[in-house]
Amino acid sequence: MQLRFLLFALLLCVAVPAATAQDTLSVSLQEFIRQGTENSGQLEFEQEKVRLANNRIDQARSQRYLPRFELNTQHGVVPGVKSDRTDLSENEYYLDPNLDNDWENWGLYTRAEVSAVQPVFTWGALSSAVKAAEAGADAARHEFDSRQAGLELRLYELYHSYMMTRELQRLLDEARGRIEEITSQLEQMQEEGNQDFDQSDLFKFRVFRSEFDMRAAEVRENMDYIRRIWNYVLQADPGTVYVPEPQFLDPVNNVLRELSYYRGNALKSRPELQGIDSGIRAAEFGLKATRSQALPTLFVGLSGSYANTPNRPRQSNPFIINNTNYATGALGFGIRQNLDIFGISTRIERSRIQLEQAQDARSAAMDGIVLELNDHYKNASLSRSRLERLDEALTTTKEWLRQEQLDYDLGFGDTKDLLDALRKELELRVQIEREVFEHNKNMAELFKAAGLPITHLSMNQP
Amino acid sequence: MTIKRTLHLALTATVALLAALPAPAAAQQQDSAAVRALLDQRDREIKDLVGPEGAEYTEAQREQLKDIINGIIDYRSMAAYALQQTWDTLSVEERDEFVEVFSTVVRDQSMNNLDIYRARVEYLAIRVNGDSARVHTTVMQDASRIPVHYDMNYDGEWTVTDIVIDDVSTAESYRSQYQRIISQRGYQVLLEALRKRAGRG
Repeated sequence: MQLRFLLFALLLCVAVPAATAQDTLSVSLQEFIRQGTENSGQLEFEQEKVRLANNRIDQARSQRYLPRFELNTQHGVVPGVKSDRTDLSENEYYLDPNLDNDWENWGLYTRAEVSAVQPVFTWGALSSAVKAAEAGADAARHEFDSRQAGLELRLYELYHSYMMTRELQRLLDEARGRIEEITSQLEQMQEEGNQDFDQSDLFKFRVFRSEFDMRAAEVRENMDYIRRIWNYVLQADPGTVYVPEPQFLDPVNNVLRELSYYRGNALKSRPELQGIDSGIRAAEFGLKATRSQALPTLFVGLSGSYANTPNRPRQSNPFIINNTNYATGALGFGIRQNLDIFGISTRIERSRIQLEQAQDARSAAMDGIVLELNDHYKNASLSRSRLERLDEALTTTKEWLRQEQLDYDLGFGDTKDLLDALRKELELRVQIEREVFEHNKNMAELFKAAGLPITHLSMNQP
Repeated sequence: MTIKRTLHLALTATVALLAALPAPAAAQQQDSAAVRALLDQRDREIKDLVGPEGAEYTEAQREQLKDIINGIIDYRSMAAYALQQTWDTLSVEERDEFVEVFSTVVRDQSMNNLDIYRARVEYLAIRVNGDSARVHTTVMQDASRIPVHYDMNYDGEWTVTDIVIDDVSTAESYRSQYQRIISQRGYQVLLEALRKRAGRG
């Protein structure tokens, strides 16, 4: 009893902290993307499409070997037969025109029929169908890769959203202390009737503080939202908090190369184009297979049949077939020709249109990819340029703020100028964090558009 | 009075970050490895003296801290740079007085926020070129990081001639401010303001 109580107490000691404490786990970008894609229902759905496409290959291959192989059996009870003639043996009963059913002699009736067809020559219809299915499976895999790349990009943005919002929180937390202190000092100057005090400065600063509070509330809400999405993506249990591994959000430092580099890579590696190429191959083989269907096919046929009923004697005369007791078989070649010429012609025409459609899709996709690349390249280039200009502006503002601080320290300062500098510095720091996020997002979009893995984008060290 | 306490943060950082710098008598070698060893040693000394957050200090400890923190700054060279042509017009005594009040102001400011001395300092690069060196560091305080670069000079011992904190040059800031005050109000007004500031402690 004492031992049970002790164990219960121990369990409580262990259980209570486990229920209340939260584990904080750092997640690298690669791990975040890996877990996010693993947990994605959308990708699972796309994966099923690939499995279906692979199943179609097996189905096409199965048509090459014994595409028709059937066994039918029948079972029942039937009455026996009786003959009044004594000069006939049981295997000569067919000679008795007065042969009767023997309703008092029931027996088990069994019949089995087997038939098989093996194509021998189909003018390449079967192998083309297999190749078309294989190309179709390739297209499905590339479609999956394309969806995965899209999802990875969204996960990349989500990961960086967390880092940006965390940086904004840091900035606002740092600024809050300064703002509170300055507000109280301005109010103190007002109370003391300080000559340097300007009422409009206080009003302006109070307005600034309200705007700041509003912005801080937005950032808090955004952080809560991002955390909820993170938990959903990572399927986190309630006791675990996931945070990005890098402590700071830095711009990716991959060099922005010439547009031709990204274009060349896109034409070589974009899964959409590879998928369309596979689709074209599938359509070509599909057309070939449909054309072959218009030609006669040579096949080998096999059939066998066997019936047995113990109470009905088998008749040995081969011209006499007793359906309840016999055995027969056949093996031979055959030629099959589909004579539905109009139907075949329509199917060939449809296959030809599908091929042209796939070829047109490639041109359209290439046009789209080139436009997309140009767009993302421009965005990446612009954001990098904006970031550099903002950095310059921030450096200037920091110099300005330092000057105002030094002036104030020596008694030459002006409150309004100091507050303006403080405000501008905070605004620029916030703007830079947002621009870093935009730049990283633009680079990731460019990489995706070029068919490059976004995990190749550099990340700052944790 | 006043907003100055808020403003002291940046000024304090200017001086405080000197914590990681070598003692005047320490450095004889001019290679980066030697400079790094000196910086590490100096950083440890400062951190030992500052102690944990919330520690109380005697007046003697505060003075010792000021000495260690500020002993490495070449105030004379910084003052001469800040005053520019005005420096040439001053007598030896006037120069000494200016350096005295200037260094007092900076030393006092260095004690306004002791937390910064507890921050972790990461050395990114130390480039020694003859008798000058540039040390690139990042100061990791709480959840923020501040890039800090030191310009050092060797003239029998290593001294700091400028500190660039968060992309802003300290020597340049003083020069810009002092030149503006001198041109608008004259050297005596600047000196008087510095004396007044030094007197406040």
